[in-house]
Amino acid sequence: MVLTTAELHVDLAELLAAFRASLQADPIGGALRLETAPSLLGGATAPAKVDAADAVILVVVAGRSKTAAVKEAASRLSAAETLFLGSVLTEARNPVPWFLRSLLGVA
Amino acid sequence: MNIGLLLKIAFERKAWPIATLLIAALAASWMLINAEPVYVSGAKLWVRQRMESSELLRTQRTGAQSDTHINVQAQVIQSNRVMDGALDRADHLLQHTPSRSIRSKLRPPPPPTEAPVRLKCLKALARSVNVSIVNPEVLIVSAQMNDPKLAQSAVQAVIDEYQEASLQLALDEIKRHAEYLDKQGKEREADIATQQAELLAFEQRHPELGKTPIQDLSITSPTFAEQTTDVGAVPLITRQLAEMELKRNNLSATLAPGSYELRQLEAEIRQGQALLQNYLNALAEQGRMQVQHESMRWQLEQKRKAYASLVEEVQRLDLSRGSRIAEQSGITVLDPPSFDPEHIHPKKKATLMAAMVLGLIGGAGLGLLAHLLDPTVRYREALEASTGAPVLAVIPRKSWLKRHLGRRRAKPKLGEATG
Repeated sequence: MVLTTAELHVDLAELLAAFRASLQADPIGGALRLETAPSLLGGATAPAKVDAADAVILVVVAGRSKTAAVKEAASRLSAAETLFLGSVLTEARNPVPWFLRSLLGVA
Repeated sequence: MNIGLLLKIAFERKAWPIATLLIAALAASWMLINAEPVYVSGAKLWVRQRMESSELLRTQRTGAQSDTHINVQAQVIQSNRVMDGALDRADHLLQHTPSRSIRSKLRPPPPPTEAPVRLKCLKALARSVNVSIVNPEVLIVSAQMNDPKLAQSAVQAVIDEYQEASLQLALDEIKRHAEYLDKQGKEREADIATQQAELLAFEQRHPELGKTPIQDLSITSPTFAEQTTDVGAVPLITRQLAEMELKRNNLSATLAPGSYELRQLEAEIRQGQALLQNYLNALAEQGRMQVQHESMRWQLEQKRKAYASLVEEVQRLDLSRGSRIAEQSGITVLDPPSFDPEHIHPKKKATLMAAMVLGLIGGAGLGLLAHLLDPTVRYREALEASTGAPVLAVIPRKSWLKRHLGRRRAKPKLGEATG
């Protein structure tokens, strides 16, 4: 399985480590081979890695990843033969205070 | 767009409304500090329109909405004549009025070096004085100034001057008309004297006409000739002539045309006709003289009547003058100039509230614009909409402290993980 991004300069190491740590606890998850392929739109190796993988997850950094680039990457992944599982939003920030969220019952 | 996303956008862009709110509040405060307070004083006047006894003084109105007595009075109040007179009445209006804003209280401005120009004061007074028409007979004169006493005295001065000017205008009008009537009267007097002299001379030339009472020429003139034939010897001669002609006609049937009797009769008829003609001529000349005499007398009488109406008009003018002075030109002060120590401008609370509300709305708008122009993905909902695929996980951002601590601990593993 490949973790990819739309743009360059996105550090996936921490995310990959966290994934691996959570998967190692699971017997099936431990058999999975995880790789990173940053910059789907800018680099040459990322599309090849994606094509070779069984499944792909798009990593989007909140407040940094451009909407246009994310759309483009998603459309390419949907068009590829590899299974596009979905996306992960990192560094997300909820500016709504917790008490208001709990009061209104919104996420 | 659900409420969660709306709340996220609102809190994400909260800096905009807060900043604009603060800026608007500051701007409003600055305006309030520098604003000159405005106090208002008003007086209610009842301006009656008199029914003039003199025809000359009656004003013909066009019936247009602007051409009413009360509109004219409002224009008189706002005229330079009244304003100028009000300045003369209230000398202090000509002096420099110090600023009464909060700023000037905190830091008094330097005293003015020059006295204000009269024209400038006049313009300022005209700007600050306002006239509102309540109904066709009542109007309100108000003044807005930076001191309540000043506003009150300005209104008082304007009203006093208006009353005097109004009376003066009315009397001027009467004076003008009186002068005109006086001139007309003198001309007519001279005309009557001439006419009388001519009539006297005519009567002396024709003593036979006598001094008959004046008759209406329109009745006597067309039937005069008929009437003259009915007097004196004319009917007798006419009758005798008719009898002689009848006799001649009868004789001409029995006698020869050249007979002595017929010739004698015809000679008598000719003499009678000549006599009748002489009588008629004399009567026509006398009638003509009579007509001329009566015409002259009629003209004299008409001139006397015109002169009498002129004298009546002068008397009515005198009455109007008296009534105008008595009524103080028809202006009554219903409410004297008010004194209100509360200023009408600036309204501190309303100004601040309005500024804050506008700042908040403007800031919200700017925040929304900033969100719409933001090219990055920030929220789960936006990511789902952009990719069309499910969002598997949302990893929250670490706090500043956690980020720095975590980075130090994770540094040795980074190379391994990325490789």
